[in-house]
Amino acid sequence: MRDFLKRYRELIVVGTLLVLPVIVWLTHSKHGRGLNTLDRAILWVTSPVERLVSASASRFIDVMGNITELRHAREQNLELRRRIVQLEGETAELGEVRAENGRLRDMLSFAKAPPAPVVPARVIGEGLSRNLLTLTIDKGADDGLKPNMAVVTHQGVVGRLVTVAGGTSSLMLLSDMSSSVPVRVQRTRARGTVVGQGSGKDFTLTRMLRTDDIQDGDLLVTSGTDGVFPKGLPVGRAAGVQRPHHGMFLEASVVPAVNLTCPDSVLEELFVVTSLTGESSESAPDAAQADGQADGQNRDRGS
Amino acid sequence: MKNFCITAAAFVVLPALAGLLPSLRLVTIQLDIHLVFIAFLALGNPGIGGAVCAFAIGYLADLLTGLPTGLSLSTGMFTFVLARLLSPVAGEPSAPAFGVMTFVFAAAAGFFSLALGTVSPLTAGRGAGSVILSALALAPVAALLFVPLSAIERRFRKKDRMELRLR
Repeated sequence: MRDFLKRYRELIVVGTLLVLPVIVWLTHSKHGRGLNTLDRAILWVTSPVERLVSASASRFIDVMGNITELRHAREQNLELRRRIVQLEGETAELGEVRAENGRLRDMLSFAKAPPAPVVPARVIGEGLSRNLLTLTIDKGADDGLKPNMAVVTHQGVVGRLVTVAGGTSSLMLLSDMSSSVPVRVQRTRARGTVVGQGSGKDFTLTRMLRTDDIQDGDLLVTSGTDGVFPKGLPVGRAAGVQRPHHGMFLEASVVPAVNLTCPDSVLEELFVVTSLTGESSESAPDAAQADGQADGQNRDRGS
Repeated sequence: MKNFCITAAAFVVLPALAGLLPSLRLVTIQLDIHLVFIAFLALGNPGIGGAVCAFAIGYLADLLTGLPTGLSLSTGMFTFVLARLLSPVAGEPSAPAFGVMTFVFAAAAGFFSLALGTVSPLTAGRGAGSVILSALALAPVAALLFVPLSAIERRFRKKDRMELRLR
């Protein structure tokens, strides 16, 4: 018996070690067996390795995930920057369109009830001479324009045509030193003349009697007596009115109703007054009535 | 001592893989890595000590499943017996040959567990296709693990030769 056990020792041990777990499996396969002390000891020894590797793997996966997200974020950032540039361009374009829309809306309201028959025109150039402040517009003799016609906007007087070609015309701005326009104070109907002082300067009010009623901020409108500008168009507002102790006339500056200091950026659309016969019926009687009152006052002062 | 070192390596590698594989979420096939260690032990003609070490490795694998039922231990010991029977004809295999042999052992152990499942209230939890796939996936892993394991074995073999010469 001892010889048998010695001879087949390995076979018996291996057979036992094979059969034992099979029996365990067949008996505990449904719910598993509970952990005994040996199991807990083994797990206590091996669990640090398992935890360490698991934590390292999770950390590595997190780092890789962060790198991937960082790359995505970078791509997204570039895309968003491109989008911002595109949107900034669209915003600028929108602002341009909005500004043009506002101008055209104002001009449309002006063109619906103009003080006289007008032809709309667009500024296409600026005169190079510093002495002669001119603009070039895209309408000319083919459109019925003639020299000396008044050029206005919905804000007021701009200037008059000086040369007219087939499809273009040049206009002299009111700010030019050789420009002058007869005006009245809208409030009191007192008469005077506004002359240009060159680029970047306000106009000057001349030939207004020292005794005339005018204050800073009074609106000056065209008197219509020169046969060029329709009556009642705004020219500017009086500023710095001074009555010297000597001489007949007072001194005053005029802040232009239309900003003419940088014409290429402000003036884009204009109207050329083609005839003075069709003045608006609303403003004419009021103006005539006001003229009558002012003339009466002047006569009173003269007598 | 050689068997103890291989078992110790298994006690490091198996928990490490148990922590690593679920974190990676890449392996969906069940990998019975413990079979690689047991097969390597058995092919080295280890004797009773090897059988006990194989039992210990199977026991650990069973514990690492979280619900020890004895299945991993049973398949492990089945693999040990099979590899031990084939060890005289296997000789000293190369890494690819060890991979192929592990595939055979793992497939046989899988079918053994399926056969046991027919007389158990709980089946092994997988079909024949899954067993083959699992064994196939285990083959390259076995070939890779063969390199460090054979390095351990060579070291001990060299030591044994030196002791023989001294005698």
